[in-house]
Amino acid sequence: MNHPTPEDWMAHLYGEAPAARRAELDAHLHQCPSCARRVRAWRDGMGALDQWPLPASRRIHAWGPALRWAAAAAVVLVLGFLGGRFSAGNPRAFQAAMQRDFDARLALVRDELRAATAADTQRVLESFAQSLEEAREGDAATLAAALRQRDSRHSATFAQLRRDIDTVAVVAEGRLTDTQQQLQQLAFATRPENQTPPDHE
Amino acid sequence: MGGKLFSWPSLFSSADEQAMWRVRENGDDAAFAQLVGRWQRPVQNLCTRMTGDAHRGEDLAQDAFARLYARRHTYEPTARFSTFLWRIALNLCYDELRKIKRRGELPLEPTPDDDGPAHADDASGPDDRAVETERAEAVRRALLELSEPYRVVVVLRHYEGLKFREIGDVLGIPEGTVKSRMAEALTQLDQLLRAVLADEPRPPTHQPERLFV
Repeated sequence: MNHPTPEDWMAHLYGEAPAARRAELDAHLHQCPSCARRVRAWRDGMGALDQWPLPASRRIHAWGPALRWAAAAAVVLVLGFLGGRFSAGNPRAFQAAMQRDFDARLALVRDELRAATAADTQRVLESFAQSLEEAREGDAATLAAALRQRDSRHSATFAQLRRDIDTVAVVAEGRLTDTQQQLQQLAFATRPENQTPPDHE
Repeated sequence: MGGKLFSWPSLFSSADEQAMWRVRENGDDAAFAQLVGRWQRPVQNLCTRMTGDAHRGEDLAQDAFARLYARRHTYEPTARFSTFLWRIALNLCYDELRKIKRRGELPLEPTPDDDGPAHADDASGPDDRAVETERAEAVRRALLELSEPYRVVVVLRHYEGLKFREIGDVLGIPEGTVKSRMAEALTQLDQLLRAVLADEPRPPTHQPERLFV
């Protein structure tokens, strides 16, 4: 019998083998006790490594809310600016309208963010509780594989979330600066027109 | 709603390579902060696992970003940013391990770690916690028993989630060599840890900590 190489098995154990090769390796595993023994030892080694977890991304917890607020503020400013631009007239009315608009949108975004965060947390907790439940009932080996898959999906989600939040912060900062400048320009542009006394005519 | 809110910025998300290019060309602080934010934890975890010491890991990660900035002009845009950064961090780890060896210190003593092991289940009782801590400690020691060429492969593949090919790029060795080192490392770990970990069923404590590259 031609035994697959350790390199083959490593690609398989870490999910890097192509689908066709994976099927062959699985088939071999079922009929070759010596390979099965080796692979079991490697899997045990992998399982052992999982027993030393380090905190994943505390930074998200520390910075997440601030960054989300920055994003919310940027969104509000941009929307407010666009809204104000179309309704521009009397600068004071414009300012008041914008203030009201700002407050309303801020409240809206805040509520939405709160709901979204709660829902996300709830989902993660539920899915974790579910995986624990399955852990007690299920066959240990199948379960390890399932958890590993679930884990990498979560990792991907967390990583994506983390990247997105980082980007939001950067984008938000840029937008805030832009918007401030635009608001100042707008203020300059509108003031002379509205403050010109009528007796010039 | 959460999905919508968090996915739109990814349209504008700049890749690490672009950010690093801005750092290289303009010394762009914002781009650098973005890179640090994204990579600080993976680099710190890498250094912690290579040296077996959380505080050293933290210091080394800081050094790695300082060195990244200092050497920004040597970054070639054709290279992956992650490869560039992993190499810097690993070289610092090797230097540190050499220093430790020269001073005759054994990096085997557990350091009181502020972070502690990341507990998957906060509802677990103190006994479970003690068992988890003990196991984490056993794994930490076992990793330090591996020689560096094996340890680095384990840390990059198993904990940091790099593909074998990427590890080959970082270390400058063929992918097949990476895989055979991984197999040998897992065999050694199984032998080192079987006695410690085999007695009880393992709770699923694996944490999502990998940043996919």
